Formats: sequence, structure tokens, C-alpha cells
Amino acid sequence: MSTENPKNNKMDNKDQIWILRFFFWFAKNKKMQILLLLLIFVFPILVLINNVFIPVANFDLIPGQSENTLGIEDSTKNELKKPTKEQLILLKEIFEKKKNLAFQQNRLLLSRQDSIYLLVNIPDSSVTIEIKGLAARTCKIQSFEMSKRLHYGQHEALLNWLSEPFSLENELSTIPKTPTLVVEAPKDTAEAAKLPRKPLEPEKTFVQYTLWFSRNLVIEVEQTELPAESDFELIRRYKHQHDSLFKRSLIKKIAEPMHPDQPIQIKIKLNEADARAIYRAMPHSNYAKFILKL
Amino acid sequence: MKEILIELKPLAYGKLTVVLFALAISFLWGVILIGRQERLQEKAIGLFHKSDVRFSFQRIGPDALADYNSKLEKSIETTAVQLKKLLPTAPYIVVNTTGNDFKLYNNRHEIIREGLVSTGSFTILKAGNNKAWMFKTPRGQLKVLGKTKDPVWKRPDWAFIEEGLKVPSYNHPSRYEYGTLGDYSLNLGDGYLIHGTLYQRFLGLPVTHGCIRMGDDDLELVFKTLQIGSRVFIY
Repeated sequence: MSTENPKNNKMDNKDQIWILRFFFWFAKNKKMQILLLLLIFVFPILVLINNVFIPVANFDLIPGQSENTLGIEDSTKNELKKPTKEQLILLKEIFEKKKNLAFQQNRLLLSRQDSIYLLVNIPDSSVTIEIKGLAARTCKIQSFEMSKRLHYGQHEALLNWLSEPFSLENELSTIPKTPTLVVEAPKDTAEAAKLPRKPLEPEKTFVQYTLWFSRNLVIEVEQTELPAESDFELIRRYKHQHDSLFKRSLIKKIAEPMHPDQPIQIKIKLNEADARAIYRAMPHSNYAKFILKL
Repeated sequence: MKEILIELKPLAYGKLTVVLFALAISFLWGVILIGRQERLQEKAIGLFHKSDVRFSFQRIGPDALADYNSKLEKSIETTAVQLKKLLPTAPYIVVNTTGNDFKLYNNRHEIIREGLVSTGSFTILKAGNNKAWMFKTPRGQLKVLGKTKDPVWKRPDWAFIEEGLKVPSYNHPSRYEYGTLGDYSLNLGDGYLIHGTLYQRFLGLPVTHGCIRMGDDDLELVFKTLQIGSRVFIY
């Protein structure tokens, strides 16, 4: 026995006809089509202009004033001249040397202090743990991503930014800095036999960490090896914490499209052993120093 | 006629429908863009910024470029010489407390032996009276302060406390253990040693009370290669 109501069927057919008519009307109405396109693009374009293009155009890519890092007084205040091709090549060579000199001088400065420090050498794709000028461990960077700010920033501002070692200000990691186990002294030998002990196998937890340095530099390190299923929850928690520290709400983004302290990020992938050794070797807080070569 | 008008009535809302639909899409798209604005800003940097060398060019002066370049070269050379002076001129050892391994180098900075060690376990032993010990290997640059063949271990207080034993007097015979430290030991100061072990199966793991334990063959070579004053780098 059929349960279909002929009245309902009639209504459905009418709706379909109206929808078809609407589309037919829309297809023929060019003014409406243009209006639709204009309205669709109007808000995104406003967002792009107000939240992306204008803030980027007015943003100081490298924090700090562009100082005279070349150590030479302004010879003239005439109109800026354009260098010739040969002069441009020489200028680029000078900038490279200036960066190299800053890198070496920073190493020398830190080697005189009694602390382990970290070197990231982007041109050589290496990360080095150095103690008193000796490269205790050099790790190959498997892949990296670097903020465009470091590429397009003014040379002198960049040289100024790189001229001193960076100090660690904060950190977030999936692994503990010191894998400590606290035990209470046993009262007798029987209790001593029952004391908790560390598992006698190498650590395998997924290694991912973020290091905040002075002058808005943020280094994110992640192991290249894929995580085990047991680490998924740990990684989720890390990402949640990471987002809560870095991500801004929509309202804040609208009110202040580009935060003046927006971090300059460098993301590095290393193999698991290297990533772990580097994190553990870095001293705590401000004692941890970092030198960057670009 | 009336029927046609009734059927066309929904089309009267056509304009409103189009406008509302477009605004909804536009708003949604705008919100998505705001959500991704940092990425977009990063991509837009190249559109608005370009490294300008003209300021530096003007400052150095077109005629002084070559001179400035050679001055820089000299400064780099001088710094490199100063950095080279920091490097050890005698054999040295580098110990990794995270991976629990070591590398022994000769005076030409070539690796002559690498292998496994055991370092501090990072266990904190809490005794009463606010006493606590943390079993970790110190990091940084240390020096070999002394070398001993057939060392005898004088057990410190924590060695008794962690076993639930009563701490004996300072020179009590029960403090002295023979053979526990292997055939050789190198003193790094503050009670830290590089020594051998009875627990060779734990090499590669952090199980010690702060000392650096090595396998017998490795220890022998390290003992023979490193002299008093040799540098030990631990990270």
C-alpha cells in the first residue's frame, strides 16, 4: 500500500520549478551576477588590504633600529647612488663577510664564558653544540624553513640583529629537560630492593620543542622520524600549548593585524638523537646562548 | 494571470537572496583569511620589502669598498686564529650524556675511539634532614686532575643511604670497595671519575651516580691517551 501524499508531491514539484526559474532568471541577469561577484570579493579584499598588505608594508622586518653596523660614518648626505654591478658584487661579499665576522666574534665571546652554547649555521645546514670553542657535536639539518623576514630584511638591520648572541627566554618541549626520578631514602635493605628505578632502555619519546630567544627569534625543532602511536597524545598536548602561546584570537588579529613582537621563526628538522642531545645540552633559561649564521 | 503572479512571487526575493548569499560567502571567506593572516603576511613580505644596499653603499663610500673588504678579511683571520687557540692541543674526550656515548680524539682532532658509556641517571635521592643528592654528570669543560691504576672506591654516604644501610664512620673499612671501579680511573674533580664497571650491560644507559663508566678496552685506551690536564668535554 502506498503512503505517498499526492498533495505533497505537487508542492515539491512547485518548489523545484521555482528554484529552476530562479536559476534561469539569475543566468540571464548579468547585473546580478556582477553584483554577486563584487559582494563575494568585497570583504576578503578589505581583509587583505587592511590585515595583510598595509601592515606588512609598514612593518619593520627585523626588530631594532637599523644602525650603522658597518662602523663607518655617513660620508655624504647626498641622494643615494646606485652601485654598479661590480660594486654590488663586492657589497654582497662585504655583507657575507660581516655576517661571518659577527658569527666568529660571538663564538669567541661565548667561548670565554663557562657555558655550553648552540650554533645554527644555515649556509652549512648544521647545528653545533659548542663548549669553549670546541664543536662537541655537529648535527646535519635535514630540512628547514625560515621566515622571509630574514631574507628581505635590510642588510644593516640584519647585521645589527645578528651582532650579539641570543639568550633563551622560554621553552616548550615534548621531552623533559632533565629526566629526573625522585626516590625517598629506604629505611632498610628490604625497602631498598623495592625502590622505583628508571627503565633500563633508551628514551624513545617523540622530540619536538620550541625555543624562544631574545630579539623575537623562535627556533622550532622537530625530529624527522615519524612518531609512534603512543606519542600522539603527547604531541597533541604540545601543539595545544604551542597554539595557546602563539595563536591570537580573531578579534586581536583584527584590532592589531601585525603584532610588533611577531616572532621570527626558523623551523628545523633533525634526526631524533641529534634533536634530543641538543635540547638536553642547552643550559636552562638565560644561561643558554645561541648564535645564528645566515 | 493571477496564477502566473503567484508563481513569480519568489523571484521578487531573488535579489535579496543573491545579496545575502554573496555576503555570507564573503564573510566566511574573510574570516578564513583573518585566521590565516600570519601566513599571508609572511607570503606578502616579498611584495613590499627588498633589501636595499644603497644605504650601506653610501656609508662605506664607493671608493672605499675594496679597502673595507680587505679590512674585514683581516678581522676574520684574526678571530679565526683566536678561536683556533682555544682548541685543545693534546688528546681529549667528548662525552654525550644524552646518548651515553663518547669520542676520543688525538691532538690532530681525529677520532681514535668511540663507544658507549654510562652517565648520571638524574635520580634524586631524598634522605631525611633536608639532605638530597642528584645523580647527574656535570656538563661543560672539565680536566683530568689525576689518574689511578687499580682504583679503590671509597663509598660516600649516599651509597649506604640508597641501600637502606646505616652510614658508617668516615674511615670505616666497609667504605672501601675493591674492583668496583675497574682497572683504571681518571679523576675529574668534585668526586666525579671516569672509571670501569662491573655492569657492562648497562653501557649506553644513564645509570650512574654522576661518574662516567666505560667498558674495559675503551677505558684502557682513554687512560693511556689522556694525561693529567687533558680536557674532558661533557654535554
